Amino acid sequence: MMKTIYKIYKVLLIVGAMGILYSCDDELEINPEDSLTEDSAFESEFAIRGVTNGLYGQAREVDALNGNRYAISGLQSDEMTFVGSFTSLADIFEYETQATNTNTQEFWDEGYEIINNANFLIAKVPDADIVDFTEEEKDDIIGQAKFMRAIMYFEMSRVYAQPFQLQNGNNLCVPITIIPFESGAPVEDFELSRSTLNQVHTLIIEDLEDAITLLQESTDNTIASKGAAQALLARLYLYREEWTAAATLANEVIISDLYEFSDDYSFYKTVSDESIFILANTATDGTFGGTSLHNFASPSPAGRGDLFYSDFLVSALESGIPDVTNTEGKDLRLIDPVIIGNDANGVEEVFQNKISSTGNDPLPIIRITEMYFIRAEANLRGNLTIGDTPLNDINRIRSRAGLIDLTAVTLDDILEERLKEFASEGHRRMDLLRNSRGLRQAGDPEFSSAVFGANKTIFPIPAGQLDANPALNGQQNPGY
Amino acid sequence: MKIQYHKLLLFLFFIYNITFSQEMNISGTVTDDKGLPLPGVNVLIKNSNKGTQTNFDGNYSIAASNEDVLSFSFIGFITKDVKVGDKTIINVQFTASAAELDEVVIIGFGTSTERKLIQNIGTVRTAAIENIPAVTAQELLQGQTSGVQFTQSSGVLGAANIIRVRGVASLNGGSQPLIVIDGVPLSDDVNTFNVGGNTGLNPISDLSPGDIASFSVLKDAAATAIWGSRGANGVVLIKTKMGSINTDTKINADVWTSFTNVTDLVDILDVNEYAKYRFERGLVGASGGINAVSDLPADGSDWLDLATRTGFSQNYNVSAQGGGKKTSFFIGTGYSSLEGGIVGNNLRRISGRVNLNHTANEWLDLGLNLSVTNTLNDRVNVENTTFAPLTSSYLIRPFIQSRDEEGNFINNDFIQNIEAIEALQENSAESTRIIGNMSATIKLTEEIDYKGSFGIDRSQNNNFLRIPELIDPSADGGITPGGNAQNFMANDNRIISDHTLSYNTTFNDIHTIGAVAGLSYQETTFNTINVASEDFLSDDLRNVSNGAVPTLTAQSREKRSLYGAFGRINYDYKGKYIIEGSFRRDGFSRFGVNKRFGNFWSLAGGWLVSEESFMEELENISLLKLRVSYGTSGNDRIGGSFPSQGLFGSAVPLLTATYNYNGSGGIAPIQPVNPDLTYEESATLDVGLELGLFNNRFNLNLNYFKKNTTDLLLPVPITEITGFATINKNAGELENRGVEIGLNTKNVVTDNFTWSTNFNISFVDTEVISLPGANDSDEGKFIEAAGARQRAIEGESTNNFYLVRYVGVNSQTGDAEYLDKDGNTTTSPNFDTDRVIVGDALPDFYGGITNTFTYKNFDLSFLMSFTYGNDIFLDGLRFVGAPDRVGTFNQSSDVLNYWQQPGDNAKYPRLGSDTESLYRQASSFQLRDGTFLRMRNLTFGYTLPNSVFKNNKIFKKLRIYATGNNLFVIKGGSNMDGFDPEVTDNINPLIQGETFFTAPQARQFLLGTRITF
Repeated sequence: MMKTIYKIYKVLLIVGAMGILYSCDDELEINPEDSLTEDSAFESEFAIRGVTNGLYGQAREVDALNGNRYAISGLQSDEMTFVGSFTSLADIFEYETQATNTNTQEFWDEGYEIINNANFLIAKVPDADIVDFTEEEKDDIIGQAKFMRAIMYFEMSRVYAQPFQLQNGNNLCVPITIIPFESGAPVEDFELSRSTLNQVHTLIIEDLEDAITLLQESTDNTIASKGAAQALLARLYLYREEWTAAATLANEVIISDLYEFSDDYSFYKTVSDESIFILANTATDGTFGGTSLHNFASPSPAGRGDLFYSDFLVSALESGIPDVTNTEGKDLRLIDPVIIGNDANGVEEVFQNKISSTGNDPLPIIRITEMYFIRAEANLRGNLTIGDTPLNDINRIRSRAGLIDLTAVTLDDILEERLKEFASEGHRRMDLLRNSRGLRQAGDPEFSSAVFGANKTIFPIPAGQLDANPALNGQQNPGY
Repeated sequence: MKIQYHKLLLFLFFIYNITFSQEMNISGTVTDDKGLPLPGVNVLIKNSNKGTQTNFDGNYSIAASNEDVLSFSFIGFITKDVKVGDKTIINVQFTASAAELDEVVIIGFGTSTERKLIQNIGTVRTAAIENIPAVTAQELLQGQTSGVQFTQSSGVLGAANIIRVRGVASLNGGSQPLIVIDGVPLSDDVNTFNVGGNTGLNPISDLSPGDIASFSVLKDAAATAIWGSRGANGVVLIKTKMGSINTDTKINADVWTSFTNVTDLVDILDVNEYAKYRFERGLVGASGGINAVSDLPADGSDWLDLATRTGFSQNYNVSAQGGGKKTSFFIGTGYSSLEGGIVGNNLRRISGRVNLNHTANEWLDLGLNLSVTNTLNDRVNVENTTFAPLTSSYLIRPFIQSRDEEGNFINNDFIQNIEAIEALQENSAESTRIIGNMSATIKLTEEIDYKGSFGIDRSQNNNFLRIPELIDPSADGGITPGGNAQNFMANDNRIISDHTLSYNTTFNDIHTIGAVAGLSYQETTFNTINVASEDFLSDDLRNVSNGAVPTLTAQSREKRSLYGAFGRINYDYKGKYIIEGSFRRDGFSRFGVNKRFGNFWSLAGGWLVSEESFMEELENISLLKLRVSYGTSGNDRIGGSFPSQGLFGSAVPLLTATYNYNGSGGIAPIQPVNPDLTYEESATLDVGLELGLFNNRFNLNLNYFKKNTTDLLLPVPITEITGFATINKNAGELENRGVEIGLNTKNVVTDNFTWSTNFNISFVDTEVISLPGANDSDEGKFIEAAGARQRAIEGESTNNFYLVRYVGVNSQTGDAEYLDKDGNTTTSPNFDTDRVIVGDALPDFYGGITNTFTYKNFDLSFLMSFTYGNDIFLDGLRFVGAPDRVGTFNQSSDVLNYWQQPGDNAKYPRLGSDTESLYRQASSFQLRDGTFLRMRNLTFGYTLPNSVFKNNKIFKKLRIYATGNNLFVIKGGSNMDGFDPEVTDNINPLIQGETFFTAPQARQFLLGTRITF
């Protein structure tokens, strides 16, 4: 009797034990509840829209399209002066940038982070089989991803490569990846060497042309739209000196009537129709200070008072002759878009007032005024007459600033006008380089280091990236 | 399936009630080796919990069947097993043994004896700890056993302690040992606010020290392999107290009260010295100088005095233990009310415990261990924050006042008014923790037992922080109010289900086989709610919902589950040759899908040389054992719950920001997938020698070990073209080698006087073997934690201090001098590129020594612990020992010792020297030798003689005692005045021995009484 009972128990025990064994595999499959996995992120339309939104969220992150963008442009060019103690910024200002510089590596780090996210969308969305997720909706999302991928490659090409003008675009730019780093993808597939500037530009052109086709016209300028893609492409063609294409695209954006050349400078710190593409940056989303650069570029004590308008810029603004309607008696861009205050040493200087010291304001990326500039410059240099004359376009911009009309316009006039209009908006450095000019004025410190084509007019490939990627061996920019 | 299995277990409990063999009454007399009757001998029916004890005449009587084996045991004699057979009278004469050899040792999923143990386990028994009045359970481990380095991270109540078993076995993973209480592996998720520093709270502060019967520290692979993926950092098994069957109920009441003082405070400038010093600086135009002493207020607050106090603490423990025929029990309750030496730091703990063991019948034993603890910790900020009482009281300038003329608090300096904070602010952590384990042991056959157990570890933690208006004033100067509140609740809920079959048999009297096989399932759910708000109309409105602006609403949950199958088999031939093998296979949800399961194993062999016939003539050698083991175990603490998965999330890594955009949800890749991510694995070779001489009055335990850890979790840099800077991989390798020596001696044993000594010392050498993918430097590849002053470097230790070398003040020039990388003297070092290896946070050796004396009814014992050869870094000196910062921060009195004329050997440079500002930078100036010898515990007790109680029906025993904890520290380093050498402000294994201003260990004077009823 006993023995039989024992046997039954043993059998039952073994069955029970096997039950646990059997069930354990399922028990070990636990999914996170505060994030989505790579698979689940592309299984619902809302999640996909979240990933798309995340592109812009990433872009306003330190420091993809935030403060760094204008800081390093201003620091290196004749646009701004730096008096602070932060070595990474002081080094850029003094042309002593090291390959380990933390500010200049942000474009690389954040750039590829956004590109990876965009690549996920571009790769996964076409195959997403979701009820009520229409082809049109998919197109819109892929279009946005392509726009964001293009803008990040464009930003990186501005930072890490010599301009098109130096070697007709045959110089090295950045590695190109168009596939996501997803489950199972070997890291080696991403250990890529640098492509040429022309190759990167080709990708940008393809992406933006796709985006122009895929995206609809939209008045929501906080996300990518057809107009934003056209505008960005116009900028690229300007950089490549393809005047007809640049003027045509700029003109198309202007005549689309979706954007409005503002009457005054109240559009800063707001999401207005002056913008073609602007990154909303609200406290609700959690503010990004952009490595605190907005704080650096604001006067003390609200900000650090480290970074302000250079004497060259201020005198350019002050030299403008006011027109009769101008009651302020000076260039209006010395009124609203600036704030006079103390720098870190207590000296009174002119600071930007386009983004407040908290960084809690929208970040202007492309605005309609730039299209008038592009049309004017392309028409002038290509000897074209698309849309309007260069003189009219430039006088339109001068008139808003309360300056008298010019009677004739030259390239120098356009560049000076761009300097004053886009002060601390991140254009000046490239405006000089793409015109084969040095970055500093004669008499400025580091003038000789800043001449066109000089090594340190562009930035180093981040040192750590050379270590982590054998394909970049020997591809560091000269001088670093 | 699992649930059904539990049903099956219930079914097993209820259906089986058949009595199956003939019982009869057995009686007899037990005598010692000289033939004298022995009272109190345990008489047990083997493989059951049935048993009795002999009476004063050495007689016993017990019901047993003829199949049973009676086991007679008594401390000091060799246990005797006698098969009942057809005998009804069984008399036993003991032979004397070396007593300790037959004491039971708790091992993973079973027990062994000291004699036959071939695993390396350090056991700390009741006798060693019962006279140490401790606040936390971990303190009882200090200095008690070799191979265990114990660092009390600070003198703040409830602060976590650092326990390292055999060195550092992990760099980025957790490196604390697994702690198991009565079969329940404790959860150690961080469930509290960070209040500065990164030490967290003590994971076992919820355990009442008075409940602990023993610790077993599992060190080698033979001991830890059966804990599989959690064993690599060592395992601490804690057994709580239990009564014995057929014993009278014994009630113990232990009451102590104590006074606590803060030791080792830095001597800082008072308000007069401060003004005078700044005036002297002003005379030579040095920074921070003033034109006249009267430029500064003459009155100030004595901040250090406001921040420290004499704490008064009380502790009550009452317990009852005993047992009847079928049931034994321990019931304990404790109440502690403790005040720390830092103002505002209190801890109150109320605990209760029930341990039960019930023998239902011949085949079923039921067990229960259950404890409930409520801990309320009134916390203070620590380390590098202006809210930390100790830090702020050092740094705030002495002329700053705490109160205005009317006696109201004011807060007008950038360093917070810490008196006001402690008076007005609430910063509390309340936890309620239930740890329990129910078990049923079923005897399937004479040899085979089944044990099923179900355990829980459930803690509910409620952290609350309320910062008043005074400390967090209105941002806009008064239109909207200030103040803020935060409530963080964490529920950590773990269930464990274990099932084991064990088999024990002896055949032909010479072959003994023991085996255990089991299954274990563990599931942990960690749920947190974190809410905060700001702008309170009044400080009287306490709760978060009263803040006008909500600033945080977060809720989160994580689940993890671990499944293991394990076994161990042990064979011993004639008690001389022992071999043992163990195995475990673990599957853990945390590991990547490709490496979700891990296999761990060990093999061990032992030779009891002293049992050999050729040793019989060497009577003085009571024990000579050689043992060797090799095997593997793992470390599963590789971060979070989902470290291997590719994730899209909204929270930006490392920032308090989201990828949300323009009011809509946004997500982005936040973690790359690594399906191969898995546990870190340690393979350990252990060779040991145990020697007992003179009837074990001299006991030596000597071990050599080599522990090689591979698959170290490293954030390996990958090309950012992937969108990620690093990926967590199992890549690195390190090794710990060492020698451990334990020596127990009974120096004097006479009727009236005894003296025994317990000494242990461990030499551990830690070397990083490889760090693939890590950044390179002149010294080799290295990794370092953010903000750390130390690096783990290939070919070197894991904790090399990496700093610029400070030389001193040049007696001719009065400037501070440093060495550059090449060793040339310089007054303008580069604090990045001139750094070299200057020290090591890991000691050369450490250990403890306990001496116990008894004379008649007096007892005296003292425990000292020591550490030798490690360095510590005093980060706070960069503020309180940086003369040119005197305008902003108060300074240590040392700054008065500045250079004045050629020939001076001063501590600090000439006033106004350019090199004064260099003291703000980290260099070897702030590095100290951390060697110390601490008188950790000294207890003097008096037990009333038995004659007093002879006719007393109530009291059985009364002991009064006085204890001094941390009476003194002998410091090995110079310039250590004001600093406690035993510090660390971080539990991160890559940041050891660094302190900002860690609260020094408290000195405690304690008076207590223990009464037994």
